[in-house]
Amino acid sequence: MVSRRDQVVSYAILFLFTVFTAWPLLSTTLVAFNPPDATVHGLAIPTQPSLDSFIAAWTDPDAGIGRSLRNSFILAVTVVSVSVVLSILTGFAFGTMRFRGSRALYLLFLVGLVVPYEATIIPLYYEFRALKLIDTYWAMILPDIGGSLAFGTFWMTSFFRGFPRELLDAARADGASSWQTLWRVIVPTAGAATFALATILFIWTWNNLLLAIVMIPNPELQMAPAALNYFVGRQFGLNYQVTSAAAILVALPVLVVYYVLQRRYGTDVLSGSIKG
Amino acid sequence: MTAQRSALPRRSAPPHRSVPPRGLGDSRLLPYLLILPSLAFYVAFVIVPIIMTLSLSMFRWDGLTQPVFVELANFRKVLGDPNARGTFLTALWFVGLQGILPVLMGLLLTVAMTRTRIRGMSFFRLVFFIPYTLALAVVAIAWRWLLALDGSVNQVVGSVLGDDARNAWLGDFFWAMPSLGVMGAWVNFGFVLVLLLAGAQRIPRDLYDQARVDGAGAWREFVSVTLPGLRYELAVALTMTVIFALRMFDLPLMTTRGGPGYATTTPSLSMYWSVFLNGEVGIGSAFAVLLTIVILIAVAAINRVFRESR
Repeated sequence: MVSRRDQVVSYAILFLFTVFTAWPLLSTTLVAFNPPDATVHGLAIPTQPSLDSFIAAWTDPDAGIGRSLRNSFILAVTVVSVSVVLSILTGFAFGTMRFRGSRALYLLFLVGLVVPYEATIIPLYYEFRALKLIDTYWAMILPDIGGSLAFGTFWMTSFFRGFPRELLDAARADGASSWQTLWRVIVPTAGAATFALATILFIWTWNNLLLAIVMIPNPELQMAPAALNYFVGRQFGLNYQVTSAAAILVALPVLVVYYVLQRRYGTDVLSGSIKG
Repeated sequence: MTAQRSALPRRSAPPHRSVPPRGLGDSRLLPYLLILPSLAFYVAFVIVPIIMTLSLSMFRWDGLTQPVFVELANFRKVLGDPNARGTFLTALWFVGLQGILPVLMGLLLTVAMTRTRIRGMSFFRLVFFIPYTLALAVVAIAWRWLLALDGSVNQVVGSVLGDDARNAWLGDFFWAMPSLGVMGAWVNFGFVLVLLLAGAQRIPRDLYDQARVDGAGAWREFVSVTLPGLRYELAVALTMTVIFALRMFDLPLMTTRGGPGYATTTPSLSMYWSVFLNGEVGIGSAFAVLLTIVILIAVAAINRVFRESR
């Protein structure tokens, strides 16, 4: 029997963690609604809420957040769409077919799950520099796709392994080729899995700072997290209103994507494929 | 993931053997053709660069002139310099604070949320997961302000302990590291929770009923039913958070710049500065190689521990 006391303890723990989670979010939001020239202190509840700090962050000529958001969108959409399609193909092969060398190839992909960007970024920088591709989107798109495919392959393979065998066999009996089966039978039912994969890859691509500051040093072209770093490092380091407003602008797109995902499928899909 | 269970049932041969293969769509080459584009990207932008990093770590190179082969001199230099060696000790602290602590927090919440019926379950999950979705650059900015001299942590500390207790947390030799640790824990615990809650749903109810019939208290129930039931999810969660902690780069870069002194300088920061500030590509590569080795060892150790306790 679960006692009344247990229940009170549970709610107390949840309350504490809610405060812990919300506090930094709340303090950042509150300070951002102060104008850039205000003196801020403590929770900095704005006396006259103003959007001036957001406008300053958005339009700053040297590191405009507006421009960096557009750059990040181009990057994330390209990387996610290419990676998801390629991951469906590899997942289909590893998850439903038996072929020579499949185990070794799959393990090769799994290596990428634990190898950090630190292990690849130095030669990537010098190779792209030799090709004169530093300060172009390619310098991030290509490595980001490469880096996404390990997880994408792992994720989609798990999905295909769990796909009902009978459906595959039925499609085959009806005379469909594997290729037709993939696009007509499997992909239409893979909504939750692919959507979750797309969300995770979107978040990772959007948030990657190391790659962004190494590959695109030019402030005109830089990605959103790099723009934040630029803000903190150079101009607005101690202007907490403007830096916080900039941070909120960068966080919003990801929060929207996350919210849509979890409304449609629940948070559980994110852990769905590791059931082992 | 290396934690992938190896004992996946081998799939029996498809039953419709009699159906002949049809055209290109079903040729024996199909699986290879499906994998080829991904493999090309993956080899070109992950595997080959890893090998090149390994090779660069054995050269002295400034990124411009002719590289000079120096064998293991870069590694000797990194491991022989107390400040450089210290970055790995810093990384170990982060493993504790950003890797293990959030897993313990996630476990505590999992128990709190599964032992009794919680109203608003999905609300709590939604809220606790938010920090994990934020860019670390965003997290750094949020916490810089929270912990600033005029920030709200000092407001609370000041009103409870008096104004003398106020502190520039991120600039303090003792407090900078724990502050960054708490930031990492804040990011990770909700992610751990989502993994563990999904795992807890798969633990059969009758195991709990049985434990209660046997007169097990809350603690015994936790040790004998919940923990073993979550073993696999714990391994995955710990693998992810420990890699996160060992790679720590964004948070110290944007809050402490690795300081004060070297107090929060991580291997990733050292790698970045060696290469892109000091033009010591070989030294930076040595940092990268050592960091990768540490990560591989940690991942192997985690999965070993959780496999053996089966």
